[in-house]
Amino acid sequence: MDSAQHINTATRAAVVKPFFNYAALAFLVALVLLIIKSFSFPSHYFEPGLLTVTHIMALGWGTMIVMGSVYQLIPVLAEQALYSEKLAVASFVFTATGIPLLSYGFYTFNMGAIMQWGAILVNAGLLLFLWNVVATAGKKDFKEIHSSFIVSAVIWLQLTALIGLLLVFNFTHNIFTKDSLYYLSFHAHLGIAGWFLLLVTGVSSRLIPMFLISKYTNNNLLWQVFYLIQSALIIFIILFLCRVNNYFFYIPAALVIIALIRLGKFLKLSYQKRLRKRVDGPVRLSVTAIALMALPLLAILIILTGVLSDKNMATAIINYGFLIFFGWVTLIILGMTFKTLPFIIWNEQFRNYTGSRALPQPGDLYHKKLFNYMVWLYIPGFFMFSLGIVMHIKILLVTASCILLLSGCCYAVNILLMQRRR
Amino acid sequence: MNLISNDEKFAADAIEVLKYVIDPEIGLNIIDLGLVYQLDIDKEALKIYCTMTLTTRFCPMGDVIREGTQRALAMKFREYEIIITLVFDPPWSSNRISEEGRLFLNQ
Repeated sequence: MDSAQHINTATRAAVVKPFFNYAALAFLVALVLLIIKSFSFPSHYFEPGLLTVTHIMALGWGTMIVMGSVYQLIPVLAEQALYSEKLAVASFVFTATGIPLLSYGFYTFNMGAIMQWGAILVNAGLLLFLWNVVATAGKKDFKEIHSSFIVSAVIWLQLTALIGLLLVFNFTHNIFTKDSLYYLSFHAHLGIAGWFLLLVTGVSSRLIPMFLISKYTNNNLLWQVFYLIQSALIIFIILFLCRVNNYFFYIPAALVIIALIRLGKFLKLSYQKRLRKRVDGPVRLSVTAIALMALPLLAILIILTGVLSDKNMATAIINYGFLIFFGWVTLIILGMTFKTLPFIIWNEQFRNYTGSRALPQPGDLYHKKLFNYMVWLYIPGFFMFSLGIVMHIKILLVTASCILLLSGCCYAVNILLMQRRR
Repeated sequence: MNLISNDEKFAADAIEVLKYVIDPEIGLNIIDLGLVYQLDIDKEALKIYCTMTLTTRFCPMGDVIREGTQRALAMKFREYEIIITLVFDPPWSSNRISEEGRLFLNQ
């Protein structure tokens, strides 16, 4: 038997928890704004309220919580401690300060100094995040599939944020040849596919089999998924910059669909070869979220077909964004929070007592009933709101957004109670 | 349970306390999970040697499990020095889970 070192790699809970708490607050703010917007729901996506909600969901909610999780996960994958906890704290401070400024700029549709400073601070925070992740994972062999997903996703995030920064300045300084609206889909898709899709794919393909205690491993299949998504992104960029006919955009869409079918196969086989027969609520919710990736893909095919027929697809585009940010991105966060945060809290509270007495398990740290209420409210609220967008029914939008806010409150209360557990 | 030891009585006592060390990720103790490969005692040198593994090299709870093992053995065998050796060769496989462990996971 060869002996091996296993160094203490855990990032301190004090570094990670602020990301989770900030994200929960941002989620609630976005849901309140959604209620306000529901009373006079816009007919175009380039609208102050919708841009604000989208950026709070993408940055304040999705990105912040993922940053916290990556600071926890990347040292485990790289088998070494985080490069710098101070950098992680600095990345939190910059990003957390930049997001409200940026959002305020969108809400008031004032593209001046406040919004520009917001964009600069967000970029600075994300740059520190990128530095920390690359410096931590950099010494590790990059052929490790999950690290590759995470590192490349973080690079795409930085690129998305940089383009966002240039778009903010383009409102006042004519940086690009066309107006910022023209580049919106470019900026959005780099973020959606480059950041969220790559990251969710990489993290879920690592964590879901781990939580199921699955005997199934197939890195070749995951590499296929990795290269399919990367190819889709590169082809998308080339097509966009060359301003080719819209027909060609079916190519990256098709590549992403094939990637997700391959990912679905991987998760299905992991599920079938699992040792843990009883699957808990958070894992079920995460798997549901991945299945719901099919909805925005269906929506983008409808939008592409509509655009080719010169139809006004504004409502479909709003629904597409909703299906992404309030659909699979949010659902996987809602699920994975209750698998990752309990470990972080448990590690902080109980690790020094292992082996000395019977201890609660990480899964015992959150309120199961509150978790169930959250799920039972969120899923119907989500479908009702999506239907409300498509059918233009105000009462459905208002009711659904209130239900979503109630679900968000269940989430926030649950994670706060979890952190008070002793 | 495929665990080897140079002293059956000692191994039985050690196993009893090591059942308190739970892999928090799975909720199962390290004995039924099959993480402990070998438990040896040197009564003259007052040393206990525990050779063990983790379910995966990237186990986020690896340090916790190792510390818990050290603590559990140190509390039971107070006069002994505990030496834990972590190995990944041979790697852990689910075939090492005991019948009791499988029943727990199937609940």
